[in-house]
Amino acid sequence: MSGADLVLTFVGGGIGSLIRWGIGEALAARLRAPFPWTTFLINVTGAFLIGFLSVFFRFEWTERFGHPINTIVLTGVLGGYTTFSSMQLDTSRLLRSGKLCSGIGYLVGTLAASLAVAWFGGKLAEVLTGGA
Amino acid sequence: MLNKLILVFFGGAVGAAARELAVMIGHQFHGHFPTAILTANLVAAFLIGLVTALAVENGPINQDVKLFTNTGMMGGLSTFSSLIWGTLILWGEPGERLLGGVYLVISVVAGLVLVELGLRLGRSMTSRPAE
Repeated sequence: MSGADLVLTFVGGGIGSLIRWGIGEALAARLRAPFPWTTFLINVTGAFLIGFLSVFFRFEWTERFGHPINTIVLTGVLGGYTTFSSMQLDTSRLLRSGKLCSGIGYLVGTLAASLAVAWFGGKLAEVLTGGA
Repeated sequence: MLNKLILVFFGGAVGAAARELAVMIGHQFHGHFPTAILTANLVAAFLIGLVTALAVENGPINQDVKLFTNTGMMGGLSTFSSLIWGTLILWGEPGERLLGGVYLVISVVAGLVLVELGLRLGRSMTSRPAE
């Protein structure tokens, strides 16, 4: 990792976090449900994008830098946009308040939906780039 | 409003930079197991629990600091997209399917345990002893 990579990750992470927060602020009033729909939506869309972009640009998952799009968008923006910690905190909240089904449903639902759309994103990119 | 934007931006930026420094300095992988991302996610899970418990009314952490640390830093330090993509890649390798499952399950189970530990530690720090 070079100094430039670090700066690009810094800026990308800041931008991704702002987008996540902005979506949360915009949707918070509309989604007054106790279920954390905004974090669900953010993580699932982030999963789709990492699958699509990784395959579209042929990035190796072991390489977190190199190509500027890899550094800024995947490592920076998507890393800042998606959040593991909020998902876990929300799951823990639901479980502790006795909402076992909601808590497990939220966690398993986020994982299953994200894995599915990330896979689909990769396949879509394969088709679009004419690869197999 | 502008203050909040700045807190979230710099928090997320510092968190993401810390994550990638950890990836560089620590071992990114043990074999094909993504140790560094797992570690970043678990540390963030613990800290988000801790700060959440400390950011109660009359607690030592106010809502602006919480916005910087939790929404910003922990959101930037932790990454859900890398976890999901790493799991899928491992599932796509014939000899690594089990490892992918282990990666995903350890992440979420240990993550939940660490959030809980963080919350408990934070609560024990804010509860005042009887006088």
